[in-house]
Amino acid sequence: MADVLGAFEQAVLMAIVKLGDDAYGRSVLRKVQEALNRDVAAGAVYATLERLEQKGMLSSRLGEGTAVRDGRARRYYGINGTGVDALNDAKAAMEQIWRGAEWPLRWPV
Amino acid sequence: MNPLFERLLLWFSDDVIAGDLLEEYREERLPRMGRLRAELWYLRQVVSIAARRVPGALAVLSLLSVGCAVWLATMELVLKHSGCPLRTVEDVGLAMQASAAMVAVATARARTLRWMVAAASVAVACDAVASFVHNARAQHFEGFVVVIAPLLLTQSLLTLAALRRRDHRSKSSS
Repeated sequence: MADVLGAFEQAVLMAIVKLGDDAYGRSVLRKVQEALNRDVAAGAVYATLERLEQKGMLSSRLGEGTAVRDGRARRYYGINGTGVDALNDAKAAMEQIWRGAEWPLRWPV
Repeated sequence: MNPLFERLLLWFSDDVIAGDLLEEYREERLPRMGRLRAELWYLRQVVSIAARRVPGALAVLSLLSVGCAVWLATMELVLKHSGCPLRTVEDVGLAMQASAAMVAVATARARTLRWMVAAASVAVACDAVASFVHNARAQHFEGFVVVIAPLLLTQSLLTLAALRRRDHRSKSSS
């Protein structure tokens, strides 16, 4: 099994998939927080975005700034074929690991 | 929002991230949390972004180096052996190099600082090796040198490697 995406990486990639054309730094941060149901440090999200882009799973482009950002540009992210494959592999790996087991597990197993 | 926080953020990231945080601060955090909590939230994000840019090992070694330098300076002031003022200044220099190393590795700007830290790291590495060798040959062997000298040497070499990697990444992305 090749390197499988970590849970946080999956959360970031899925946020970008769900946001579609509206996936930029702040919206990805909010979507990840919504998915994980907790506050998430911006540093973790941006570090993950940078890492995923370096791995070729994401591409990005600069968009227009807005007044609320004092005119600063937004960076929009889009998932690439490599990213889609990685998400599919992660899902398949999780299903293989859980095959034959009933969720939720109870103690004693 | 406190403009100093934004200036601090821009040391460790870029305009795009600053814009994202500003948008979140103005649209969501300030109305929901009030000014003080929103500013604390912003500061926490700045720290999280800066911290991610410093490799974990370097952060640990730098903090240990600062601790050792403070301890050495304190011992100099307490024991007052001959030559202690100069050695105290040297110890303060060690603490400054270790602290500045973390900032220089994390920041996206301040090229001058990075060069200064690189030069200081070379000096610290040489000083660490010289101290170790001198101590090994000395009649009066000091055990703490065996611990502190390798720590400082490793920290300074890691700093140089991290600075080089940062410069290489900046060139690839531009």
